[in-house]
Amino acid sequence: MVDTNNPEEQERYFKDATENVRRNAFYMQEELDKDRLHDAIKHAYTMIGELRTSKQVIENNNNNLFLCQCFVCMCKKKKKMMVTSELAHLETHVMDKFREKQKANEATALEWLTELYNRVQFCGNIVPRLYLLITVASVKLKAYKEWHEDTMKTIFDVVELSKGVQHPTRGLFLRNYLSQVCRSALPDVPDGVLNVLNFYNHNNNDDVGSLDDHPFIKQSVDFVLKNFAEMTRLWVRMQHQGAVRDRVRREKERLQLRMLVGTNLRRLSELNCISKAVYQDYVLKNLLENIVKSKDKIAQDYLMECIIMVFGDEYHLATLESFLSAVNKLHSSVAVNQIVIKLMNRLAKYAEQGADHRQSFQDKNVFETFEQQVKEIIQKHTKLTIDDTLGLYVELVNFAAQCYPGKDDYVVSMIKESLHTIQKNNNQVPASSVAHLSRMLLAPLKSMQLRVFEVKEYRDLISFLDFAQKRQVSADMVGSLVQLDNVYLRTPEQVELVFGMIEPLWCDPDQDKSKKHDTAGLDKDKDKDTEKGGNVKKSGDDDEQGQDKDDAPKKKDKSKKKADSERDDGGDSSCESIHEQHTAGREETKSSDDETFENEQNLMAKLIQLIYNEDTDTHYQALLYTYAYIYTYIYTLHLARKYFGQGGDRRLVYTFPPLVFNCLSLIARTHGLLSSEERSNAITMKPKKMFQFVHKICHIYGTHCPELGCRIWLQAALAAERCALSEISYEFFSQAFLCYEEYVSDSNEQYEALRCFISGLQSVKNLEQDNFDTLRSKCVQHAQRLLKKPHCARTLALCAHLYWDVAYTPFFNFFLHIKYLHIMCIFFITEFKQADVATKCLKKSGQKINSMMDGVEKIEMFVELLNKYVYLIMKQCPDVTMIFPFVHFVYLCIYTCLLFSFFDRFFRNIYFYFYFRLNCRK
Amino acid sequence: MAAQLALVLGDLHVPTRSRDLPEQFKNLLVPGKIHHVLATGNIGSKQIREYLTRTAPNYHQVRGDFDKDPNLPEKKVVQIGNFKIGIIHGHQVLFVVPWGDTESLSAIQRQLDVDILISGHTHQFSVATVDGKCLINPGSATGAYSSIASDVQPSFVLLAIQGNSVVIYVYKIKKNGELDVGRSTFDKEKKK
Amino acid sequence: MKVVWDNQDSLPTVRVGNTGSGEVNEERVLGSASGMENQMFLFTAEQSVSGTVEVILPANTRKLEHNGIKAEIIGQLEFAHNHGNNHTFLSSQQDLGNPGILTKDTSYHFDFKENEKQYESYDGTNVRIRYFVRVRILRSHGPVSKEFDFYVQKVQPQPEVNNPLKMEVGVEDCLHVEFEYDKSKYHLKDVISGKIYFVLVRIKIKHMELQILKRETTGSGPNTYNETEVITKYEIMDGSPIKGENIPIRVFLEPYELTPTLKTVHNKFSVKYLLNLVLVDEDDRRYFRQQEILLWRKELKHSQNRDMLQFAHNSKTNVA
Repeated sequence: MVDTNNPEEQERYFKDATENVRRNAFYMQEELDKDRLHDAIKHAYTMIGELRTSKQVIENNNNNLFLCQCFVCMCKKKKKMMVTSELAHLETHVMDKFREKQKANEATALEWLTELYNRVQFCGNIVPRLYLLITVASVKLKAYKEWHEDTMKTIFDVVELSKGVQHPTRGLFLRNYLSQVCRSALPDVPDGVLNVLNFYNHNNNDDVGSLDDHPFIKQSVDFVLKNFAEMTRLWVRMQHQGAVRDRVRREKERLQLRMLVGTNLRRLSELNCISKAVYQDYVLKNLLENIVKSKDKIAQDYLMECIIMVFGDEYHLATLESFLSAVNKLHSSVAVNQIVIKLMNRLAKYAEQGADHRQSFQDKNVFETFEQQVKEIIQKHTKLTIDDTLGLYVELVNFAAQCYPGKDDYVVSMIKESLHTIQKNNNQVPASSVAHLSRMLLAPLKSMQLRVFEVKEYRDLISFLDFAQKRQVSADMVGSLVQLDNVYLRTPEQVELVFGMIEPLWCDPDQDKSKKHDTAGLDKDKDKDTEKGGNVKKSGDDDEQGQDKDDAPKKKDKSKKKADSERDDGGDSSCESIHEQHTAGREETKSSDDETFENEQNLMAKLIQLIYNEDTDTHYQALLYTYAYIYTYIYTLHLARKYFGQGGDRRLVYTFPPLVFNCLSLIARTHGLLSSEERSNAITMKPKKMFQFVHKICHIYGTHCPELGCRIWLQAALAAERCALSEISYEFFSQAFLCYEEYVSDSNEQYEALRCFISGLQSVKNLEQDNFDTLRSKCVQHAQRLLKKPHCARTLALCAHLYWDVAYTPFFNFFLHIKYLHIMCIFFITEFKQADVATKCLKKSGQKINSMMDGVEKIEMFVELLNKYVYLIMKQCPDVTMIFPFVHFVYLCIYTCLLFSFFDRFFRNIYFYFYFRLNCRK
Repeated sequence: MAAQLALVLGDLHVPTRSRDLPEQFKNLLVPGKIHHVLATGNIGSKQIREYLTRTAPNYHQVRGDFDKDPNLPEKKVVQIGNFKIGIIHGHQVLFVVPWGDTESLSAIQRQLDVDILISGHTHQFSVATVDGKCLINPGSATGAYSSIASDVQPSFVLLAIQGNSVVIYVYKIKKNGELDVGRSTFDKEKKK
Repeated sequence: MKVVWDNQDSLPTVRVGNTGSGEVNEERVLGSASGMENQMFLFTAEQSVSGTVEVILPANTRKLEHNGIKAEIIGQLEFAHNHGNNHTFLSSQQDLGNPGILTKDTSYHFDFKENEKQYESYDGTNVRIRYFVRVRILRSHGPVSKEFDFYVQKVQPQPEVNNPLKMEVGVEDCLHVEFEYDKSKYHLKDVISGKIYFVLVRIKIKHMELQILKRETTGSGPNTYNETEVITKYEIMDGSPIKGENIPIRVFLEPYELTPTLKTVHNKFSVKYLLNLVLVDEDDRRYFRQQEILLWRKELKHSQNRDMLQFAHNSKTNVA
């Protein structure tokens, strides 16, 4: 007797048993090698007997779990694998022997086989006997070249005899072995769908033949069905084994073994002969009957799910009614809602795969059927929680959205139902249902796109979530919106609807509320931060971080705190402890929260780009309607701005640039239209007006993130420049400098910004002379003031271009390219070019470099500067005064380079090139 | 030795000026095939940058005028095969509308002493050979708005570097949505 | 069986050989209840028993004087508990040789033609039916005799009536089982097939087996002895069925050493066979029901493969 509670004993027992199996397997193999079949069978018998003896030892202990583990363990991992694989050897041997005899005489071979089949039945113990029987039977199944009556007789004989094993676990494994062995031998229609059709059409002219015309195939279906039915019964019966107190454990074991039962369904699905018609008329009916009959929760839960998973989508579509009617007959404890949901999900996925799939949904009232079913379930199962109910509605919404993309009213009606449900529940949504609500909000987006926002009930749904949840859902919604093709926020109404719903993304939670429940300490911090954020722009970055730090935990625990204080107004102590927790987990929360925030704002940025009212594909057609479109477009932008104002500083960094660029590209488009289209006078909103808008938003913007602000101003200035609006352009440039002067303090950033200015300014061609002068002298001023010498030198060198630029004359470019550079200089000496200033800039730059200490960088700088000289000389700077400083400079360069042995590189890259080009020119 | 593939792109401006890389491009950029990514800056959000770093084992990026990260270098030189490749964003360089100023770029090329100079900023694709050196501008991979150029077409460049020769593939999405692939070859000059 | 003779070494040996027409049907049968492997020759009931007796003189004997050599065919019942009180139901004698002197090894032919052998040979626990030929050499100082056993099997005609056996059994509110065997009369190589319906199951059954019992009854009246032997225990079900389940029964009789049912042989004894259906519950309580079946011989028992016999034997011992 084995003490089942003693792991050592168990271990020892298993070891013994495994050893026995191994030994007998060895003997069996030995006998097989000697071609002594009967001795081999004898050993096989003893070997399988191990499966049985274990039972006796353990069952007396009445410990079912252990028994089950033994069996699972022995059958699946250790012994069964050993046993069945050893039996496979036996099978192969018998098969070989049979084939050998068959060659000599078919009839005697079959006789021999039948005798063997009978002979293994002499065994006294049922479990090993049946294992052997199945093994021989499997040879018998493959004995005939064509399907034979005898084959089917054998199969059914074995199925029948297997009834002798009524012990659930052993029975399940035995029948599993049976189904495994029969798998490849079952009569079936050959592979391929076409073949199925041909096969059925072969004998009768009906569209779909029936199984009755093919007795063998029908029998093989029957076999699997029968085996399935028996296994289901055994499986269900497992719960009655052993003591009542072990029930929980037993349920667990049953779940472990469910695969064995489910495999039968898989076998069925693998049979080619089960066409849609066969499935509909015969197989499913049988399956459902058995499942309903089992009256067992676990079995029904699992097997219904199995059916949904295993068979094809089209099959489900065809048999929807019968399946659902079976669902109604299931045991009352079964989670029918889950089953229906799974089926809906499956079909929804099917519809998602292609338009032709969706067509089949159009032909049938699938949605109505499901809707009906769901209503019945809700009525019938009073135990359903609001969570379950919402879950059902959510899936209906999803289903309708996937399967009936055109039929918005399906979605809408289900959303309304859900809302009613919540309202009936006193507007309470349990925490567990939040996921459902989120899903319901997301599901229709793809099919209904922006139309769904027009449904009031849909917009109301989000109000049942708390702020954090709203925020999450909003982000997901926007995330899926921006991935859709051809979805644009075309009208102010749409902007209003969408932005109204996703409020948490562009504004902070209600400040008053959260403050009320904050601890005093946090309050102080918060105030300080707000102050800084509002007024002290200099260290904007730091402020943002500081604010984040406090915002994150506050938001997270807002609801919690609310609950706390609602329960107990004087709940200071609890707040206190929460506060402590915050400080501890602050760093972590901060980084993850920052990331979420950044992602959200990036999504917002993308959403802003959806504001568009012109289809690019049909650009020319759309031009006809430009007038109306442009009008609403601008209005849309205004409206959008109204919302962004509330967002707080840290959002601006993310949301303003796209807004500005959206507007700038609109301006460019408008400008293009104005200059090219005949009916341009129909456009009332001129770029000028739009620039006013840009100016306005940039004004708010620049103060919050000056580095970026400068660049945006610059971009706007360039855009205006391109529209030939030189006054506006000048204004923007001035603003850019203003922004730079007031807010950009970091020297590196100054350098970066200044370089942007110079290169931007350099491309300008429409500015008034005076304005341009002002701007470029500003550049020189600022350049001289830069803190670091290399920065200073480089910027100054760059400034030289502003005074000697040949960029903006189309003729020049033309000639530049055909390399008649030297002729051109005569024609294009304009007032813009002030060679002396340019030289002065370069000279100053050289001085700066010369005063630098660092050797290597100095050389680099010289090389750069020399490049500038070369460039300007090549561009025909006529100033004679330049020659001297240049020669002087070159001398300086050579001297320095020699010092640092850089001459080689210097010479090759610059000097040589320079003379080469000069010579060339002469 | 098999050719080394280098993806050259820049000025994505996600999400400030564009939503994402075009789907057609994304389909082309299967991870595991490309060896280097050379980005000219103005990539945009962290996600898109992570997406690019996943595309190839080697990722090189320089700082564009809208890149906030101050740690990004202004210029970078990468050796791939026999080629020395320089990357700059280009806003620091003078540019001449609408072609880009080849002289300025040449100057930088000489300064960096590279065989190929990659620059961006203009949102316009261009390839030029000056003094036996190659100047490449991949344009904007998302077709982002630019104050310099109008009607930006999404484009990027793929370099197949093998021995002393590099094949330059240009992928563009035309106005009608079709993908357009151009091809040119650049050979390294033999040293005199 | 082995007989120890007096003065065995000095006696001539006799070999029973086959002659004549009986050859075809003679088959060797293996084994006997005693476990000794004894080869015997098999005869049908109607077959004449004939043969040649060779009298071999002992090596140092030159001549043998005798008063005649006789052969007897004897069929008798032997009882274990009543030794020596054998009942002979067949006895017939032939003279093989007249009194005289044997000087060399001599063969004699014997032939018992008209002797109907009424019963089959049977080798049971307490009783056996034995056939043998006794050869006697009559001598003045006592005869030399030797018995040569042979075996008899009787082929019986197919029973005209063969009804299925149906039975109900139960313990009130606890167990109700109906079972059915397809026939009541089986030949020795028959297959018992049947079904068991569980009408009501309230106990936890561990397993169910079908036993074949042999009951040997000897004596009569107050001196009746019943000897029951379990021929086999054949497991037909493992685990506990639920209400409404039906379990198939199939038992091959071939591997077991069965004899036809013998009904009141000379009013001295009978051999009956019973099927015993046994249900064992988890507390090792046994529920059973016995039913008599009639076994008959359809054909002579052919020689069997050793392997198979061992195999069946093995299975028998394995039933725990």
